[in-house]
Amino acid sequence: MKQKTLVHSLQAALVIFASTIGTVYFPLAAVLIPFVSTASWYVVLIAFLLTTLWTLLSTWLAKQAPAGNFGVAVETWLGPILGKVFLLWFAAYWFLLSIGVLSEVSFVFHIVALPATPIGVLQVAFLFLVIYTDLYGIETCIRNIQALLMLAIPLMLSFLLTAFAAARWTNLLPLLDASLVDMVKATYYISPYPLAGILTTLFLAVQVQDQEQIGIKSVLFHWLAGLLLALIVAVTIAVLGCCVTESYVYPTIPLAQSINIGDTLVGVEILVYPLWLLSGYIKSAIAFVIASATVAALFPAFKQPWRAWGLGLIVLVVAMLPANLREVGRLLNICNFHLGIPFYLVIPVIAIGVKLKKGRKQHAK
Amino acid sequence: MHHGRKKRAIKRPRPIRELQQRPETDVITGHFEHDFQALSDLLTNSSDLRTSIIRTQDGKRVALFFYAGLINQQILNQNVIHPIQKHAAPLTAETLLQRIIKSPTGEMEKSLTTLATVLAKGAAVILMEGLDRAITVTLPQFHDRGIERSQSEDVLIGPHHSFGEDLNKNLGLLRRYLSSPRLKIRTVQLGRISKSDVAIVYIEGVAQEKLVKEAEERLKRIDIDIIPGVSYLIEFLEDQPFTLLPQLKPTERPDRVLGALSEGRIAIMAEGDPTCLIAPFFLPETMQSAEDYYEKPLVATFLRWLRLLSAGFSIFLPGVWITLASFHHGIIPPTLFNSIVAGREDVPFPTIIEAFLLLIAFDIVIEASTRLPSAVGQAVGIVGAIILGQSAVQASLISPTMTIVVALSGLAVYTLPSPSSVSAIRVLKYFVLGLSSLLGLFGTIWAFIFITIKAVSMRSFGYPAVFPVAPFNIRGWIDIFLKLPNTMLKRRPHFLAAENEKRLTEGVTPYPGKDGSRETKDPSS
Repeated sequence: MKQKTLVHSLQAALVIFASTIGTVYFPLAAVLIPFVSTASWYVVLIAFLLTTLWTLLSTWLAKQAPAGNFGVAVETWLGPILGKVFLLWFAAYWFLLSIGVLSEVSFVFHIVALPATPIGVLQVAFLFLVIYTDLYGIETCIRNIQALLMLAIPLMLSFLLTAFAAARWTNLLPLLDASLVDMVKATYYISPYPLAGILTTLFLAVQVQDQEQIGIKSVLFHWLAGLLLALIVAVTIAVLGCCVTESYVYPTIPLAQSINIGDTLVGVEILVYPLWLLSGYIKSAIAFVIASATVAALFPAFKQPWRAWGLGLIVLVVAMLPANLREVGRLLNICNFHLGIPFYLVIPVIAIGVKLKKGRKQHAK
Repeated sequence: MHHGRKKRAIKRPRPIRELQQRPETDVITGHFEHDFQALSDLLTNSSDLRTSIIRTQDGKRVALFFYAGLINQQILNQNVIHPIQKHAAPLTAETLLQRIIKSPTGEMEKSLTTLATVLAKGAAVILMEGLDRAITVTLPQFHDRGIERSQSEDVLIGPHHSFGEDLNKNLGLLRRYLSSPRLKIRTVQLGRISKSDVAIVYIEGVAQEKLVKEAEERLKRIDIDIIPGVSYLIEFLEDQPFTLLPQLKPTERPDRVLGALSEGRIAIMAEGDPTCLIAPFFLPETMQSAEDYYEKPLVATFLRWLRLLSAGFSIFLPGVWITLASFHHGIIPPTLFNSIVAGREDVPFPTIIEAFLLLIAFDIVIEASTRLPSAVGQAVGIVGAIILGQSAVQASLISPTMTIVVALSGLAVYTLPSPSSVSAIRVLKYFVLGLSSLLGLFGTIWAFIFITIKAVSMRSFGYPAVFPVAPFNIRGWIDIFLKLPNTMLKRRPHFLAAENEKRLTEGVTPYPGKDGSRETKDPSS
């Protein structure tokens, strides 16, 4: 039987949600507190509200191109040469993100849970899953993420609920403890996080069957991700306080370890470790599959399974280069700030270009 | 010039010699001695073959061929042999078929090979002097076990009937429960030697035509000598035969088949096998039992949750236990950890070896009790579970906590009503345990993600096998966790149904209408 592509707008929106959240909720509070202290949680909301425009632009752009193939869509927007440059940049961003997340997840798990196991073993095992997902293609990857979210979301909510019980909400006071300049700075520093969701929207919106639905759903799930991240940041500060949170790179882990309600509800790490691995897998799998699909659009002769294994080998080699977590952070910064942030400029420019081209065509008619 | 890749020709196996001797001409010639000899040669070396020659009133010879175990000889005597012997007027083929053999199964046939095949299916072949066609009359008499209780899918409430080995009887059973001309059956003959009938059953207008055609095409592609039963065909019909998880649902229960047909699915049945394959099959349905639809919704919901929990326990409990006990002790509350350590004090094996040994011992006991007759099987179960377990703990070979973990994991799987899923889970738990033993919690989660990738990549007759989880469908998703009242199950799974998605008419519930038109009657009035 000829298999239909079953990517619906809801499925795409769920993937957008997953790629936005990713592993971001582990370091987010620690990234924000040095700038905006107790105001961190609503800075997240502001950042996500502001970046809604880019989500809308991405879905609008998708509607201006023939549905089905991202490579063809990019060529429609930018022409063959600029289109190829854009695709190359797009692939590089996702590729580096995949490497960064893979290294980060393996390093952190090695440090906190499996110090005796060599990090290379964890990286190889993790990468195998990512490659295996890519071998089955984008549709299976999307369905897999949907299925894993069924476990990840209840785990996350259970963790949040237990943390709620240990929260001291006075830790969130004073509410307006940040200047506007600090808030702008903080928004800039966390802007790469919503960007992953925006670029996933740009990639997936072209491929969904019901394109008229994708706009509203992607915005809705973009906000939902922002809301959840803001909640996690607020709860982390409420349990640990600003000073303690700031002193950790991944404050969610000490948050879980510190929860002790009446000596009964202890060992909440059992919820956090699986969450860390699931989130890491989801993010790096999305990044790798999008990178692989973009490479396929650039070099059609580079077919599966060679593409997945070939790219996987490069990922492994690069992922093994960082000697510690600090170097992994540097790698992620290159990806987020050098390769990622410019997309915020380029997407509106492309949209304006497409709009002008469309207007000229209509005028000519 | 054609530069494209050469189309690969489908390699068919060499035709095997179906019958001992091929006649020079494959047709009845009308020459009695020659035809008799040709058919006898074709069927030679079969001690159960009966041949007899009788004479009509006008002196013509009539030869009868049949297999002793397949024919009801009493009916053959009454309805065929005696009428032929008693008939006074000259016999023609038409008179023989229409007036003398008063059987609706009577047919004329010229091909000797076809005659040999229908003989093997329970027909008697009549050759008459001067006739260039043979007459076949099907008078089957099979010795089967009749309609019995289902062994593998027994329930407390609801119908107890299960299928038997006779295909016609099974199809008749379905027709009896679903007396509609829209119940359609398409038969495909499979097996170069066995010529087994395989039936595709569906409801016209409910099942999609493309699904029925797909099943027919998949069946027709199977070129094999003998089909022992429909269960043998599973690997030929599945989209990914090397996957451990099932992609078709085998069942013995007519009510399950009817339920599946009413949702737009198809059923595949074959001669000689009580199993019926339902397609497409979605993995989350593993948690649903036929009984759910006869129980109160709340009870059925509770049972579904119990089965979900049991499935999780059976696959992951030993692995998670190893992870906690060997890699991440810090997560276990201190009092529990102390009692585990105290229990393991004299055990000579590491936890991992202990778990593997105990799981294998448990599976040996289960396998032994399954193969033995039920009365002995129960005894073996008791010996295995109580005596061996208790003795092993007393001898300090295993710890009491590990016994509990393994017993719970081993027994929990049997709450699932689908035998094929039970077998898959029994193997999967070793996979999870192995990885957990190597990589702790990382290994457990790795195994979970791997199983999920495998499951979501699977398709059943082209449909995603983990529907309604992925692709997500809210109505189907609710059905995994909640058994809604039957009065609320109004629609069929949306992409299975043909044009007719609705299965229940509005307003059939016994609740009073909003306008008061159907108010509950006061019994005293």
